[in-house]
Amino acid sequence: MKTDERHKYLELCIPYVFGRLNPGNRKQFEAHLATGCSLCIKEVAELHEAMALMPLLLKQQEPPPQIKKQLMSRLSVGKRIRPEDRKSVERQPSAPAAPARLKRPSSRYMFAALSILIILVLAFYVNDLVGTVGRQERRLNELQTEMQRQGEILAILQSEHVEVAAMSGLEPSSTAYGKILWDPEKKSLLLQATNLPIAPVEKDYQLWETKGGRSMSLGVFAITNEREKQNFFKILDASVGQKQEVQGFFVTLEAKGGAQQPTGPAYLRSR
Amino acid sequence: MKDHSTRIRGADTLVTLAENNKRDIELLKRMQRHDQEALAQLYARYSPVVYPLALRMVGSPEGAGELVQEVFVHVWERAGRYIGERGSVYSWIVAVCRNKALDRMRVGAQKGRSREGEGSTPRAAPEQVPRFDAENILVLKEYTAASRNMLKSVPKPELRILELSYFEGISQSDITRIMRMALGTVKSKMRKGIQRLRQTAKSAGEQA
Repeated sequence: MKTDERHKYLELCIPYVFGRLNPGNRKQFEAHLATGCSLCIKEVAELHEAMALMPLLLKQQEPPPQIKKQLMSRLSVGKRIRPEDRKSVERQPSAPAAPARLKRPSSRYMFAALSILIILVLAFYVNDLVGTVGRQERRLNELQTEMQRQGEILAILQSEHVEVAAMSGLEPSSTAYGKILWDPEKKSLLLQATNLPIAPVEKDYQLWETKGGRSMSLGVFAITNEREKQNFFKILDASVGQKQEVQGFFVTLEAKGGAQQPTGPAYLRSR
Repeated sequence: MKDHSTRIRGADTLVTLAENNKRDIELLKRMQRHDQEALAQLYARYSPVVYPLALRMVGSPEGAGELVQEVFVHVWERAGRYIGERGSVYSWIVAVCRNKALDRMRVGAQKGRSREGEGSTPRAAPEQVPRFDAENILVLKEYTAASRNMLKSVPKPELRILELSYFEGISQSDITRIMRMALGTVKSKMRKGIQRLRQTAKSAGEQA
């Protein structure tokens, strides 16, 4: 550095120590000090020492005791470590200060408990949702099946040449009755039955037609619940033929899956 | 050796500073390790000097108390930034206090100006600026012969100018009005006063 430059900075030493440099000049001067200019550093140091005598001109006075208390509490709030805390910290290098150790686990446990609670609530909700979805799917399937069956029933009813045969109950179900609707030109029929008893698990009902003196199976069905007992509809894929060809219909209770020939008791018979 | 870890008094502080600057530096090192007891020791040594300085500059016990706290928090947080070659720990603490006080005074002056709609009015009117307290010179005389002799040799006008500049933060141009002196005279007397203080500080250091 040139001598005149150094002299320029020396003139800034007193304003600097007195806090009279504007921010820009102060920053520039401090940058100059940071370069290690021994002359200016010495000058600043001596000026600081000299001006530090000024407070000694004032009558010394201890601050009120609460100032120290407040100061020390500010340090504590600033998470500094007290000397007496350091031993415990040294024993556990990664451990935080004592107050924090007491506080963190409880908040951690609370967080864990809260997380578990949230998970349980979510699990319950999801499980309930899955159950609801399952129920809805089953219901949807039922409705779709029902709609399909209704559609098939309507198709039979809408046929131009639909035939109807009424059936009455026989012992042991004298209150039962039913109908058979069919279109001679189509290979399907509609069976309707009311008050047929719920079939035992190992049994099925079987619908027969008598044609040419012979009994011919038109299909197997089961009554499994009260709703079906009250009103049962079933589409059977069978060709009944022309009404004049059919001598009659009857329903028997047979072994599960049906029989080649009617063997069980008749529950319904066409009039 | 006299135990200086609890109290400092009067110009004894001056000698103690020179003797114990190394001990102060050790305290700063302990503070870097978050030892609050080190700060407590530093506070015990220098708060009796810092507090009157703060009180003198900010004017109220409440403000002075806050300022003292700010100073020692500053020292606590920046203990590692102390640069020994730029002065003793004591002079650093005093400079921190004075700079913070000046900041407060400037903020207060700005608020005052905004309220009054005035320009560059000095913080205190001449008649309101406290005069140099002779009693405090006696305190200095009592403790350090070197300081006493040097301060006795400082003419009162020079000390008065230093006092206005140092404690009141009044600019040299405003001092000219207060002291009714030309700017060149104020500057000259101020330099002489500073030079006297520098000699006093050196003498005290040599004594130590």
